[in-house]
Amino acid sequence: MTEKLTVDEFERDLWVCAQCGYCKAVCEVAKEKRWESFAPRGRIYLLKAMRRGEIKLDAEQEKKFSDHVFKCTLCARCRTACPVGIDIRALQIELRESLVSAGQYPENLNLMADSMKQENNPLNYPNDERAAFVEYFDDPPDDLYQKETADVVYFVGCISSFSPAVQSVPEAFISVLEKAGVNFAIMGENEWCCGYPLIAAGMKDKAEALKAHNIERVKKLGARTVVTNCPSCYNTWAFEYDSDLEIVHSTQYIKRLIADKKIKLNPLTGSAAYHDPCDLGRNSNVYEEPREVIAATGLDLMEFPENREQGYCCGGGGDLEAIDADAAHQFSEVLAGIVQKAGVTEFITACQQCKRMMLSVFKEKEIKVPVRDIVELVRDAME
Amino acid sequence: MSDLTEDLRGILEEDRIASDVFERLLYGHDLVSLPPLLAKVYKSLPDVVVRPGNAEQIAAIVRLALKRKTPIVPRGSSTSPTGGSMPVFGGIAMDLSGMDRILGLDDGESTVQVEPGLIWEHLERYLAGQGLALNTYPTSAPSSTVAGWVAGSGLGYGVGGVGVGTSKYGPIADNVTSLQVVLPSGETVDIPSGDYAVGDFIGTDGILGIITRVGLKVRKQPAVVKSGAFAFETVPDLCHAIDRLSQSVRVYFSEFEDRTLGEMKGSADVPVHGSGNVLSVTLDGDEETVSSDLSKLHQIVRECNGQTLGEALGEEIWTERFNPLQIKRGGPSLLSSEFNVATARLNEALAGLARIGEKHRVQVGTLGILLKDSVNLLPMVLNDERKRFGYTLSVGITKAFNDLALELNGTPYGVGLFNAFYSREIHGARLEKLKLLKKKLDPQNIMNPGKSMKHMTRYGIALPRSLYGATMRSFGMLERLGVGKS
Repeated sequence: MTEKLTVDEFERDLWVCAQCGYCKAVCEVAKEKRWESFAPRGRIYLLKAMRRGEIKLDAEQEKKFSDHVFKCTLCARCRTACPVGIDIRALQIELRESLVSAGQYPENLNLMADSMKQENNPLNYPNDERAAFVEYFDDPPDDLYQKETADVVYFVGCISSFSPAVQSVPEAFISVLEKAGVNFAIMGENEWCCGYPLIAAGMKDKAEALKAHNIERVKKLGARTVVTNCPSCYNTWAFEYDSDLEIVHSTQYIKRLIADKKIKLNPLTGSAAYHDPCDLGRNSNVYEEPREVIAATGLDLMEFPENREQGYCCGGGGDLEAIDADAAHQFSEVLAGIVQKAGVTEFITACQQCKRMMLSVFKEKEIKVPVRDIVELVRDAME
Repeated sequence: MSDLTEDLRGILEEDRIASDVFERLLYGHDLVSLPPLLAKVYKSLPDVVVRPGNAEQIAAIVRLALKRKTPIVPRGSSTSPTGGSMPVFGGIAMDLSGMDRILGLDDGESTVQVEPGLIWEHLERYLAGQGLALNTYPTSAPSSTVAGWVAGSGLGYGVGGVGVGTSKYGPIADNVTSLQVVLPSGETVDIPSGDYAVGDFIGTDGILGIITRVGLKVRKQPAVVKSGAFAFETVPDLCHAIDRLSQSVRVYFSEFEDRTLGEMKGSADVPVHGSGNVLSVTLDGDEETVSSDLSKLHQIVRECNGQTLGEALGEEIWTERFNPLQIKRGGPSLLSSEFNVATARLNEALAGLARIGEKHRVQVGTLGILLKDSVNLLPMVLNDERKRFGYTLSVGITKAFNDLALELNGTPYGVGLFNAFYSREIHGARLEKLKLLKKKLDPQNIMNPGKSMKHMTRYGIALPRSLYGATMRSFGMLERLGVGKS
């Protein structure tokens, strides 16, 4: 496999890497595991050593190397720390693609990929139950928001659709869209996973069918805009899809609704800290709109000691939860510790996965800090 | 003899030991990418890597190493370019970066006690939360460790590293109040003690023992921190301004980059700060002092034909002070040799570097930082190590930089392994004391052997300085002949 392990886009970067270790100092996995081989610079050095003929990995080492490459949430904190500008996240994804081609990747990813094939979602739920959460609304409309035509498609995302712990997020967003009088639709069983879990797994080819299907279905509704509350769906639609559709995150859309006076907020009191989701902040460069929306609700915005480009990761990204749930959990434990130390009174985020991870760790550690997605906050301010 | 790894299992938990070559390979280098043929003269691959968690474990490992006569090579984040943390004879690589706790403030919040592996930036951030600040820290603060810098030999034995704040608060030696060290005998000592002063263990490249705790001076956070950036058309004007600045203003941090480095950055698609020779200055203190220093600074800049680029750019350069290596994007490889010269001779140094560039037909871009009465220069040349012949030949340019430093009564920066040719110049008269202490404390020569005094090879033969340039040329020829190709 050593010969096959290519990172086409990044071959030169293997030599650009200064081995300064700024990536190691910020990487949650490296901080936990401590060994150099878990740090991005360590992986780059190993690849370089392979190129220089200094090491040829045996089967056991190949497995170890692969384990390390997949023990990452693709949070990209390392990329923002890198002084020589290496896109370490993209390098990691290419490396995963290479490992997948070589057949050296975590077994659990096959379960995810099989589920994608059978049910068009990574969780192996029957996809025709994707909109089932709507049926539990107090007074759901007959069409369950699945219309023939619409201006805007609300792309709900797999976690929001299927995970009961965070179904309050799409419920709140639908409520906001309704009250604002937006002509929107959800796609129900015709919404397929955006493909992020496959792309993150290094299986981007398998995501092609999902991407083509989703674009086709949105266009069939005559919609020009896709709005989603899921940062990973947003990132994938915005940067991995090739379409002329307008892609908007829920926080950006709400900011627009406020500016257009489509919604009116009653001022809330209290304070809250905003957690930048990795796929929205670092990976999509959306930092300000969530803060502006929180400010519009009247809440005092508290910043984490490290925020925006330096924000923490909850552990919920990069397929890590599917690969190694304990490792993912360690991220949320670290973040929970920071929340407690910083005396955060309410944890606000703009990602259903961050919310899920934090709800779980707060419950386990009996941390009495409420967790809300911005769309819930806005819904509450509207009532 | 019993197996080393097996013996270590008696001291450390399993996940603190690595004997797989996969991991060991990552502990056999620092920032420098050695030409493959040259790399063969060192046994840089450690036999085993350990990550001890406390001083007791370290002492036990040292006693084991002593019994087995196995070298120990301590390291923090290995962010130096001098080979100080690279094994020469294999042995035990000891990674101390996991011992990174802040143990507490004491003496009325005038000092802080920390473990050796704490990252400087993490410490500065913690102190900021307490309304305090460090006096000085390295420009590699986002990853370099406290003890790594304390042990690094920078300006020599008993002086050590220079970085941000050094121009105002002195080098690291002026800012360490206490140390705990595990000596090569396995004995743990708290210093200062009747036998040793703190300075005895600063700038040693770790050849006298392993630092397990450091006490550092801290200060109240300054009320005001202000930065400015200025451009000078000519190098003599820049040098004149720096010389006057060093005499009349107590600068907290000042760095400059010459026109060539700016041009190199432009070609490498790295952010460029203004054109010409750019000087940035950061001042700190109370409102009154900073404001008075600022007017002095502006007057100097005017009188030296400089142009003000503004506070915003000054702040931008200040926030990027940790990224001197960003130019490497244009390489992909970088050849460099840091050295120190008196401020009064900066003009000659920059002229000399330009001459070296012309002679070698390469661009030499220089970054410098102002110290009290000297400047630390980092001349940089881009190269491509994937072209092994050319790279191996070009490495010799670093000798030309060092020769220039000596010509100007300056010294290369940091001894470690690669600059051990210059141990006499860098350590100065203190070299004799270092040798005496080494003999006394480490008669078996187990503690980071092959460093700081002589440039040793795996064969136990020291390389003489005269071989420095010549060796590269011969290795270059061998590369061309295809010798050493894997």
